[in-house]
This record gives sequence, structure tokens and C-alpha cells, in this order.
Amino acid sequence: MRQLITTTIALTIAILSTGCSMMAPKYSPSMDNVQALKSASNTPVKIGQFTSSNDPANANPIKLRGSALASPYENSYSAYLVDAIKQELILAKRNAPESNIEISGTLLKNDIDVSGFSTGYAMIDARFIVKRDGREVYNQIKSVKHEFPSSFAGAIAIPRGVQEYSIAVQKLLASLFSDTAFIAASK
Amino acid sequence: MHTLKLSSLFFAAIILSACARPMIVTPNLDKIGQISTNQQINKNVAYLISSDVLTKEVTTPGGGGDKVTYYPYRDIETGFYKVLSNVFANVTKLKSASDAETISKNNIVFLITPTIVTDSSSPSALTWPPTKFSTELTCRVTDKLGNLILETKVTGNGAAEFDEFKKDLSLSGKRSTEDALIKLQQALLNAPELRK
Repeated sequence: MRQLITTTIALTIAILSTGCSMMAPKYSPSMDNVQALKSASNTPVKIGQFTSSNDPANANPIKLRGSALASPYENSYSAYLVDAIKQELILAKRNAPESNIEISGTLLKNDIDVSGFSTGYAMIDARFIVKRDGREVYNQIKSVKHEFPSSFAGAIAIPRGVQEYSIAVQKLLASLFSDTAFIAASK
Repeated sequence: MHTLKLSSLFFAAIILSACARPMIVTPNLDKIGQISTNQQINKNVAYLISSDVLTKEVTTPGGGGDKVTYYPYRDIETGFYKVLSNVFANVTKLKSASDAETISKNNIVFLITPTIVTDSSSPSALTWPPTKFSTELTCRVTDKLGNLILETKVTGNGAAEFDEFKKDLSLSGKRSTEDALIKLQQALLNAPELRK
């Protein structure tokens, strides 16, 4: 009998934590960020190179209870960040590859934690650098810890974590675009 | 035997409980085509989706007795902005309807407030993603004094069968929001009230 109960519990755990590989959805721009970019200036900017640190906290792929979440942009989360900035600049009509103002940076930390039974987190740290005519005029690290409701059941917690990654990136960029030093450097 | 029954009930409860499956109904923006500039309405507009509404989570039926849950305003907002940008000269997002400074600074002529009502269903007993999804999108257009200019309602329908949605579990929802936005774009372009 005890063996049967153990088997049932093991089966439950196996079903709830099935490992698989998934692709994150593409970035969905935040209209609040677009409006912040539009309100700040109409100066065009270009996007330079974004690198990725080797820190273990900078996960790629991101592990979600045994499942692996890959970036839809060349399997790179720094490329994800580049596309996020680019989409919002395009919608704000401020993206111009020939501009003398360039935004570049490094992704320092990138992870999603859905191990909790009621709350999940997405954590991202990135260094952003703005150069004007090749001269550095802004260099700061921005961080976000985005909290979202999670669940004991992996079938709920894993897709919820996947879904919330884009929101964490939106919040990271919101902190950048609202920084008065960044606004001054990019106008 | 009693313990076995309890274990089975525990197992079933875990599997079946909290079965509101998260999904994303963001439309494919490439499907919302640009229009020629001579069709465009040369007026500046603002739209209002408050932060409470933007983060409103909606739950509707899926298949197999499950439910699906999503954020219709959050998922549709970028597409909504694209439609308005296609139709009007300039689009601004307002923080509140009483944001007179932004309305004045951007020469806003019309204020647009969307309302979204969704529904979904599936006849399947074995799979949870909805095979049918509908998005009713109503836009209330007022002038900057709050006088009603136009209220237009469109309904977008999306369908997806197992062979299609096994690659994208939210497919019927995405197709539905795309359809609603394409219909909205046409409805706004065809409204003579907006060209006066």
C-alpha cells in the first residue's frame, strides 16, 4: 500500500514538473514606454551592441522548474533587449541607424523564479551606455524585480513565468526611459 | 483501500484544480496593414486605457472543463495603438481623461476609449485551448469637451483546430484580436463623423 501511495505522489510530482524546452514569446512593446520616449524628445537615436555577462545569474536558457526557456531572438537575451528597445524607439518615431547618439549595454542578470507556490519573480539587471559622437555621456545599471502570481501546479506556474518575462523587460526599460539623466543624454 | 482512494482524490485534485490556463492574445501586428496617406484622417487623437483596466485579468471557458485566463487590454494595446497611428495623424496615450495639459500640448481633437468583451469555447473534452474565440471591441470617441462623436463596435472572431494550436496554444485568441483590430481600422476610416 505504501508503495502505491509513493508511486502516486511520484507520478504527481513528475506530471507537475515535466521538463521541456520552450521559446519565449517575442517582446510586446509598452505604450507607456513609447509615450515616455515621445514626450522626452524627438531626437533620433541608434542602437549599438548589447553584450551578455558570464554571471551565473544571467541565465540562458532560463530554467523554469526543469523546463528551459530560450530567447526567440537568436537564442540570446541581450538580443531580446535590443529588439525591445528598437520596437519602442520605432513606435516613438525615434529610431535612426544614422544618428550620432547610440545606446549600447550589457545584460548582467536575467532570470525567472517560479519555484514558489504563490508568487513568482522575474529579475533583470542591465548596464546601459549612451554615447554622443563616440563620447560616453551616460553609463548606469538599471534593475527590475517583477513579482507576479504563481501556482503550485507547473501547468499554471510555467506559462505564467513565460508570459511575465516581457512585462519585466517593459519595467526595466520604463526605469531607463524615465531617468532624467538618460533623457538629457539622449536628446 | 481507504488510503488509496484518498491518494487518488489528492492526485485528481492537484491535476484538476486551479485550471485557469494562462494565455496571451497579442495580435500579429504584421497582419494589421498600413493604409495610404490620402485615406488617413488628419487629426490628432488620444486614447485612454487606465492602469486598472490595462491589468484586468479575464477568465473565459476553454476545452475539457478548463478555463483560460489572459489580459485583453494589455495584450491588445500595441495593436490598438498601431490601428490609431494608421488612421490618424498623431496618437497620444493619456494617463487620465482629465489630463488637460497633454490634451492641449498635443492638439488633441478626439479622445478614444476602448472597451473589450471576450468569450471563448471548445467542444473538446481532451484539450484545454479554446477552438473558438471572440473579441468585441467598442470604441467611444468624444471631443475634448466630452461630447460623443461616435461609438463603433466590431467583433473579431478567431478559430483554431488541434493541428494548428498544438504549436501555439493561444492561436484562436490571437486571430480573434487581429480580426477585431482590422475591422476597427476599417470602421474608423469609414466613419464620416471623424472627418468633419
